[in-house]
Amino acid sequence: MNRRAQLGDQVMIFPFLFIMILIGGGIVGGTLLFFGKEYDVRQSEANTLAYVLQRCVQQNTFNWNAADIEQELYKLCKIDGLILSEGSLVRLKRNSVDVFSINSGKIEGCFFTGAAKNLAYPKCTTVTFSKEGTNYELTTGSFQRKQRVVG
Amino acid sequence: MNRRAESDLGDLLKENFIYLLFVILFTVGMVTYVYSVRNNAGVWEDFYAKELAKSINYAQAGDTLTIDIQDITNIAMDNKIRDFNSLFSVNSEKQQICVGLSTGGKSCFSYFNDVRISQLSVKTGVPGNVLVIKLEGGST
Repeated sequence: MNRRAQLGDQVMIFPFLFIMILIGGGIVGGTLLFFGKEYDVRQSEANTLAYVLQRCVQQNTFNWNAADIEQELYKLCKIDGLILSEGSLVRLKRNSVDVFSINSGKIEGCFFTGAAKNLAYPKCTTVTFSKEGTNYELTTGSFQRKQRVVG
Repeated sequence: MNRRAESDLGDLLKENFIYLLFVILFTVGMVTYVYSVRNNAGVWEDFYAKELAKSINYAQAGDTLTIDIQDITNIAMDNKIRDFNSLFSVNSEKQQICVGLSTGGKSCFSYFNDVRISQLSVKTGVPGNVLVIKLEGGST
Protein backbone atom coordinates (compact mmCIF):
# COMPACT_ATOMS: atom_id res chain seq x y z
CA MET A 1 0.00 0.00 0.00
CA ASN A 2 1.44 3.39 -1.02
CA ARG A 3 0.74 5.52 2.04
CA ARG A 4 2.26 8.70 0.50
CA ALA A 5 -0.21 8.59 -2.35
CA GLN A 6 -3.05 7.92 0.08
CA LEU A 7 -2.21 11.02 2.10
CA GLY A 8 -2.46 13.21 -1.02
CA ASP A 9 -5.78 11.61 -1.81
CA GLN A 10 -7.20 12.34 1.66
CA VAL A 11 -6.03 15.95 1.57
CA MET A 12 -8.20 16.49 -1.54
CA ILE A 13 -11.30 16.41 0.64
CA PHE A 14 -10.61 19.97 1.75
CA PRO A 15 -10.84 21.57 -1.72
CA PHE A 16 -13.95 19.48 -2.26
CA LEU A 17 -15.55 20.83 0.93
CA PHE A 18 -14.46 24.34 0.04
CA ILE A 19 -16.20 24.10 -3.34
CA MET A 20 -19.35 22.74 -1.69
CA ILE A 21 -19.37 25.64 0.77
CA LEU A 22 -18.78 28.11 -2.05
CA ILE A 23 -21.66 26.79 -4.13
CA GLY A 24 -24.01 26.43 -1.16
CA GLY A 25 -23.12 29.86 0.16
CA GLY A 26 -23.70 31.37 -3.25
CA ILE A 27 -27.18 29.85 -3.54
CA VAL A 28 -28.22 30.83 0.00
CA GLY A 29 -26.65 34.29 -0.26
CA GLY A 30 -28.31 34.97 -3.59
CA THR A 31 -31.78 34.04 -2.38
CA LEU A 32 -31.33 35.99 0.86
CA LEU A 33 -30.22 39.09 -1.04
CA PHE A 34 -33.18 38.82 -3.35
CA PHE A 35 -35.93 37.81 -0.91
CA GLY A 36 -34.54 38.57 2.52
CA LYS A 37 -35.05 42.31 2.83
CA GLU A 38 -38.05 43.23 4.97
CA TYR A 39 -40.77 45.31 3.32
CA ASP A 40 -40.04 48.79 4.67
CA VAL A 41 -43.21 50.70 5.64
CA ARG A 42 -41.68 53.07 8.18
CA GLN A 43 -42.12 56.17 6.02
CA SER A 44 -45.61 55.12 4.98
CA GLU A 45 -46.65 54.55 8.58
CA ALA A 46 -45.20 57.89 9.66
CA ASN A 47 -47.25 59.58 6.91
CA THR A 48 -50.40 57.72 7.98
CA LEU A 49 -49.96 58.74 11.61
CA ALA A 50 -49.33 62.37 10.60
CA TYR A 51 -52.48 62.38 8.47
CA VAL A 52 -54.63 60.90 11.26
CA LEU A 53 -53.32 63.24 13.95
CA GLN A 54 -53.46 66.36 11.79
CA ARG A 55 -57.06 65.62 10.80
CA CYS A 56 -57.94 64.99 14.44
CA VAL A 57 -56.39 68.23 15.73
CA GLN A 58 -58.08 70.26 12.99
CA GLN A 59 -61.51 68.70 13.56
CA ASN A 60 -61.58 68.70 17.37
CA THR A 61 -61.10 71.16 20.19
CA PHE A 62 -58.59 70.30 22.91
CA ASN A 63 -57.79 71.71 26.31
CA TRP A 64 -54.03 71.89 25.76
CA ASN A 65 -53.37 72.93 29.35
CA ALA A 66 -55.13 69.90 30.86
CA ALA A 67 -53.00 67.42 32.78
CA ASP A 68 -54.49 64.45 30.92
CA ILE A 69 -54.11 65.88 27.42
CA GLU A 70 -52.64 62.53 26.34
CA GLN A 71 -55.79 60.60 27.23
CA GLU A 72 -57.94 63.28 25.60
CA LEU A 73 -55.92 62.98 22.38
CA TYR A 74 -56.10 59.18 22.37
CA LYS A 75 -59.86 59.29 22.95
CA LEU A 76 -60.76 61.95 20.38
CA CYS A 77 -58.28 60.76 17.74
CA LYS A 78 -59.25 57.12 18.38
CA ILE A 79 -55.68 55.86 18.59
CA ASP A 80 -54.09 53.37 20.97
CA GLY A 81 -51.32 55.03 22.96
CA LEU A 82 -49.78 51.74 24.06
CA ILE A 83 -49.34 50.55 20.48
CA LEU A 84 -47.86 53.90 19.49
CA SER A 85 -45.38 53.81 22.35
CA GLU A 86 -44.05 50.47 21.09
CA GLY A 87 -43.30 51.40 17.51
CA SER A 88 -43.93 55.06 16.77
CA LEU A 89 -42.91 58.53 17.83
CA VAL A 90 -44.91 61.73 17.94
CA ARG A 91 -44.07 65.32 18.80
CA LEU A 92 -46.70 68.03 18.60
CA LYS A 93 -45.74 71.66 19.04
CA ARG A 94 -48.22 74.45 19.44
CA ASN A 95 -46.75 77.86 18.73
CA SER A 96 -43.27 76.28 19.14
CA VAL A 97 -44.13 74.82 22.54
CA ASP A 98 -44.19 71.05 23.04
CA VAL A 99 -47.69 69.97 24.08
CA PHE A 100 -47.62 66.24 23.39
CA SER A 101 -44.98 63.63 22.66
CA ILE A 102 -44.42 59.88 22.48
CA ASN A 103 -40.91 58.43 22.40
CA SER A 104 -39.49 61.93 22.00
CA GLY A 105 -36.03 60.59 22.87
CA LYS A 106 -35.91 58.78 19.52
CA ILE A 107 -36.62 61.85 17.43
CA GLU A 108 -32.93 62.50 16.77
CA GLY A 109 -32.85 59.17 14.95
CA CYS A 110 -35.04 60.74 12.27
CA PHE A 111 -32.19 62.94 11.13
CA PHE A 112 -29.44 60.31 10.83
CA THR A 113 -29.14 60.24 7.05
CA GLY A 114 -26.53 57.50 7.19
CA ALA A 115 -28.97 55.18 8.95
CA ALA A 116 -31.78 55.62 6.43
CA LYS A 117 -31.65 51.95 5.43
CA ASN A 118 -31.21 50.71 8.98
CA LEU A 119 -34.56 49.34 10.12
CA ALA A 120 -33.72 50.00 13.76
CA TYR A 121 -33.93 53.77 13.19
CA PRO A 122 -37.21 55.61 12.64
CA LYS A 123 -38.31 57.34 9.45
CA CYS A 124 -40.22 60.53 10.07
CA THR A 125 -42.55 63.11 8.62
CA THR A 126 -43.02 66.69 9.75
CA VAL A 127 -46.12 68.69 8.85
CA THR A 128 -47.03 72.24 9.79
CA PHE A 129 -50.54 73.61 9.79
CA SER A 130 -52.61 76.38 11.33
CA LYS A 131 -55.88 76.41 13.15
CA GLU A 132 -57.65 79.53 14.42
CA GLY A 133 -54.46 81.58 14.36
CA THR A 134 -52.39 78.93 16.16
CA ASN A 135 -49.43 77.30 14.42
CA TYR A 136 -48.86 73.59 14.88
CA GLU A 137 -45.81 71.51 14.03
CA LEU A 138 -46.37 67.77 14.04
CA THR A 139 -43.53 65.27 13.72
CA THR A 140 -44.37 61.59 13.48
CA GLY A 141 -42.14 58.60 12.95
CA SER A 142 -42.22 54.83 12.85
CA PHE A 143 -39.70 52.16 13.80
CA GLN A 144 -42.07 49.24 14.10
CA ARG A 145 -40.82 45.90 12.75
CA LYS A 146 -42.92 42.91 11.85
CA GLN A 147 -43.19 40.12 14.41
CA ARG A 148 -42.68 36.58 13.30
CA VAL A 149 -44.81 34.09 15.21
CA VAL A 150 -43.77 30.46 14.82
CA GLY A 151 -46.37 27.73 14.78
CA MET B 1 -7.35 -15.04 -3.90
CA ASN B 2 -6.04 -11.56 -4.53
CA ARG B 3 -6.24 -9.99 -1.09
CA ARG B 4 -4.43 -6.87 -2.19
CA ALA B 5 -7.10 -6.12 -4.83
CA GLU B 6 -9.86 -6.67 -2.24
CA SER B 7 -8.35 -4.24 0.26
CA ASP B 8 -7.85 -1.63 -2.52
CA LEU B 9 -11.47 -2.02 -3.51
CA GLY B 10 -12.55 -1.61 0.09
CA ASP B 11 -10.49 1.58 0.42
CA LEU B 12 -11.86 2.91 -2.86
CA LEU B 13 -15.44 2.37 -1.75
CA LYS B 14 -14.79 3.89 1.64
CA GLU B 15 -13.29 7.09 0.11
CA ASN B 16 -16.02 7.50 -2.49
CA PHE B 17 -18.75 6.79 0.07
CA ILE B 18 -17.70 9.83 2.09
CA TYR B 19 -17.76 12.09 -1.00
CA LEU B 20 -21.07 10.64 -2.06
CA LEU B 21 -22.54 11.24 1.37
CA PHE B 22 -21.41 14.88 1.31
CA VAL B 23 -22.90 15.40 -2.14
CA ILE B 24 -26.23 13.84 -1.15
CA LEU B 25 -26.45 15.87 2.06
CA PHE B 26 -25.56 19.04 0.20
CA THR B 27 -28.11 18.41 -2.55
CA VAL B 28 -30.89 17.60 -0.10
CA GLY B 29 -30.07 20.71 1.94
CA MET B 30 -30.05 23.02 -1.08
CA VAL B 31 -33.24 21.58 -2.56
CA THR B 32 -35.03 21.90 0.80
CA TYR B 33 -33.92 25.51 1.20
CA VAL B 34 -34.77 26.59 -2.33
CA TYR B 35 -38.12 24.76 -2.16
CA SER B 36 -38.99 26.64 1.04
CA VAL B 37 -38.42 30.08 -0.56
CA ARG B 38 -39.55 29.32 -4.11
CA ASN B 39 -42.98 30.98 -3.84
CA ASN B 40 -41.89 33.93 -1.67
CA ALA B 41 -44.41 33.07 1.06
CA GLY B 42 -42.42 34.98 3.70
CA VAL B 43 -42.19 38.10 1.55
CA TRP B 44 -45.92 38.13 0.80
CA GLU B 45 -46.84 37.52 4.45
CA ASP B 46 -44.76 40.54 5.40
CA PHE B 47 -46.27 42.68 2.64
CA TYR B 48 -49.91 41.80 3.32
CA ALA B 49 -49.64 42.12 7.11
CA LYS B 50 -48.23 45.65 6.75
CA GLU B 51 -50.60 46.76 4.02
CA LEU B 52 -53.61 45.46 5.96
CA ALA B 53 -52.43 47.32 9.07
CA LYS B 54 -52.09 50.49 6.98
CA SER B 55 -55.62 50.08 5.60
CA ILE B 56 -56.99 49.58 9.11
CA ASN B 57 -55.15 52.69 10.33
CA TYR B 58 -56.79 54.80 7.62
CA ALA B 59 -60.26 53.34 8.22
CA GLN B 60 -62.89 54.34 10.77
CA ALA B 61 -65.33 52.44 12.93
CA GLY B 62 -68.20 51.13 10.80
CA ASP B 63 -66.06 50.66 7.68
CA THR B 64 -65.86 47.40 5.77
CA LEU B 65 -62.63 46.63 3.91
CA THR B 66 -62.66 44.23 0.97
CA ILE B 67 -59.25 43.12 -0.32
CA ASP B 68 -58.45 40.93 -3.30
CA ILE B 69 -56.33 38.01 -2.06
CA GLN B 70 -56.48 35.71 -5.09
CA ASP B 71 -52.69 35.71 -5.57
CA ILE B 72 -51.80 34.79 -2.03
CA THR B 73 -54.44 32.09 -1.79
CA ASN B 74 -52.64 30.48 -4.74
CA ILE B 75 -49.42 30.62 -2.72
CA ALA B 76 -51.19 29.11 0.29
CA MET B 77 -52.51 26.26 -1.85
CA ASP B 78 -48.95 25.60 -3.08
CA ASN B 79 -48.00 25.28 0.60
CA LYS B 80 -50.78 22.74 1.19
CA ILE B 81 -53.10 25.11 3.07
CA ARG B 82 -56.73 24.61 2.03
CA ASP B 83 -58.60 26.55 4.70
CA PHE B 84 -58.27 30.17 3.55
CA ASN B 85 -59.83 31.54 6.72
CA SER B 86 -56.79 30.27 8.62
CA LEU B 87 -54.47 32.51 6.59
CA PHE B 88 -55.50 35.63 8.51
CA SER B 89 -55.88 36.19 12.23
CA VAL B 90 -56.12 39.04 14.70
CA ASN B 91 -54.52 39.47 18.10
CA SER B 92 -56.94 41.92 19.74
CA GLU B 93 -54.82 42.38 22.83
CA LYS B 94 -51.77 43.55 20.87
CA GLN B 95 -53.88 45.01 18.05
CA GLN B 96 -52.02 42.95 15.49
CA ILE B 97 -53.10 41.58 12.16
CA CYS B 98 -51.31 38.37 11.21
CA VAL B 99 -50.83 36.64 7.87
CA GLY B 100 -49.54 33.08 7.51
CA LEU B 101 -49.07 31.48 4.07
CA SER B 102 -47.17 28.39 5.18
CA THR B 103 -47.35 25.97 8.06
CA GLY B 104 -44.10 27.31 9.56
CA GLY B 105 -45.50 30.48 11.13
CA LYS B 106 -47.01 33.87 10.43
CA SER B 107 -46.03 37.53 10.21
CA CYS B 108 -47.82 40.05 12.42
CA PHE B 109 -47.94 43.83 12.36
CA SER B 110 -49.64 46.23 14.77
CA TYR B 111 -52.16 48.92 13.87
CA PHE B 112 -52.59 52.03 16.06
CA ASN B 113 -56.20 52.79 15.13
CA ASP B 114 -58.41 52.10 18.13
CA VAL B 115 -60.98 49.92 16.38
CA ARG B 116 -62.17 46.38 16.90
CA ILE B 117 -62.20 43.88 14.06
CA SER B 118 -65.64 42.31 14.34
CA GLN B 119 -65.35 40.16 11.22
CA LEU B 120 -62.35 38.73 9.39
CA SER B 121 -63.39 36.25 6.73
CA VAL B 122 -62.51 35.06 3.23
CA LYS B 123 -65.13 34.89 0.50
CA THR B 124 -64.41 32.72 -2.51
CA GLY B 125 -65.70 33.06 -6.05
CA VAL B 126 -66.70 36.72 -5.73
CA PRO B 127 -65.19 36.39 -8.53
CA GLY B 128 -61.81 35.49 -7.12
CA ASN B 129 -61.04 35.31 -3.43
CA VAL B 130 -61.48 38.37 -1.23
CA LEU B 131 -60.81 39.16 2.40
CA VAL B 132 -63.57 41.01 4.26
CA ILE B 133 -62.71 43.03 7.36
CA LYS B 134 -65.45 44.76 9.37
CA LEU B 135 -64.44 47.39 11.89
CA GLU B 136 -66.29 48.58 14.95
CA GLY B 137 -65.52 51.10 17.66
CA GLY B 138 -62.69 50.20 20.00
CA SER B 139 -62.06 50.64 23.69
CA THR B 140 -62.09 54.50 23.86
